[in-house]
Amino acid sequence: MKPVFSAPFFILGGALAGVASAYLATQTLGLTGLAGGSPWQARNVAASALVHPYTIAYYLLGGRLPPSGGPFVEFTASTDDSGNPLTASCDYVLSLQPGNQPAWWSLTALEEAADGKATVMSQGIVAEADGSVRLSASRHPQPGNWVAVPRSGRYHLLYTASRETGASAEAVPLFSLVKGSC
Amino acid sequence: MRLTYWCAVALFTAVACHAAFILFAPAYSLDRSILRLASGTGTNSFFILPQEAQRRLLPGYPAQSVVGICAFDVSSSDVTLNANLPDGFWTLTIYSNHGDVIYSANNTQTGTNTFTVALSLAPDLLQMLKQATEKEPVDTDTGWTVSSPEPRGLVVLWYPVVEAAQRDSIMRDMSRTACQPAA
Repeated sequence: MKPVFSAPFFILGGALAGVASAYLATQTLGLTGLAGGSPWQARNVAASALVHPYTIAYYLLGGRLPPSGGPFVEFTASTDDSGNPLTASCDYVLSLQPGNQPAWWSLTALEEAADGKATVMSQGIVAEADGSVRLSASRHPQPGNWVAVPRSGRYHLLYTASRETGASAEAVPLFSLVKGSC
Repeated sequence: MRLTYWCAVALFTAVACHAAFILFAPAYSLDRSILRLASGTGTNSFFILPQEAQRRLLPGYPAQSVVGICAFDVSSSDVTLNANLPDGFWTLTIYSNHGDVIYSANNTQTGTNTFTVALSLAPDLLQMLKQATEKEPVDTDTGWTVSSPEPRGLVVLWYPVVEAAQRDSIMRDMSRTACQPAA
């Protein structure tokens, strides 16, 4: 009787392990957390970075183009400030403090959003009286500034912001992400 | 001993498949995206991206933005991009078909909304050695020149639109941009 652990098993197993590890690496390598406790993460797309092939693969395999760098930087968040995953069943409030805000930013849910404004940008929102920015992330329309999220399941928020010439990603002001009602 | 041998084969196969996946799968994915986008217009032709395709390719950009692309192919001849953009903020990004950004600029950096970019295939080692022994070529005034390490790639022009009512006029202006093989 042919042994179970024959040559094809090792070769196929090795191939599957190789592809699976490569895919897993594209999802995890190059991610850098930012300010202590912030749920926002940036990907290191610098051409000189060792993980550059993996970060580029992350975007291309997802059907997206990598960020062009330069004046813009991208951040993603899959959890709120408390570390809980973002889910469509809950509403979230995003806040940006007055004063040092990016000249331009946009916010969107990466997954297919419910009907509504899937992407909001800085020019299209109304600031608070003190200059801060507050908006809601919800699957249902909300009064004020609102970004639509998917109808169900977990999702990721994508925050694209401009930065000063030569500034690092850490210097870009980030939204706080607080869970509201569920 | 036999088991050790086959474990080593499995490990080698895993490493080889890991490397092959990272090197080839993303470029294949981008190639397919480019072919799908350019299926109606072909390569070396500028067109405004439909909003649905724009959202898939560039989710960080607001849906009402105007995004124009040119899937270029410099394998047989240089390609010229004659850009014609309205006043305001815009960005130009040129990607290789491996997803690397090989050139980027915006309105502030260029100082003009009408410009020409000459795309060509970067010379290989033999061509560089040959060029080193030849006379200096005569410079032609073609604006900026960009050498692509790959024969195919993507030019992306992005114009953010604040008021939806402006979108049509901005699309008309950007549609005058031309991407074509160099004469």
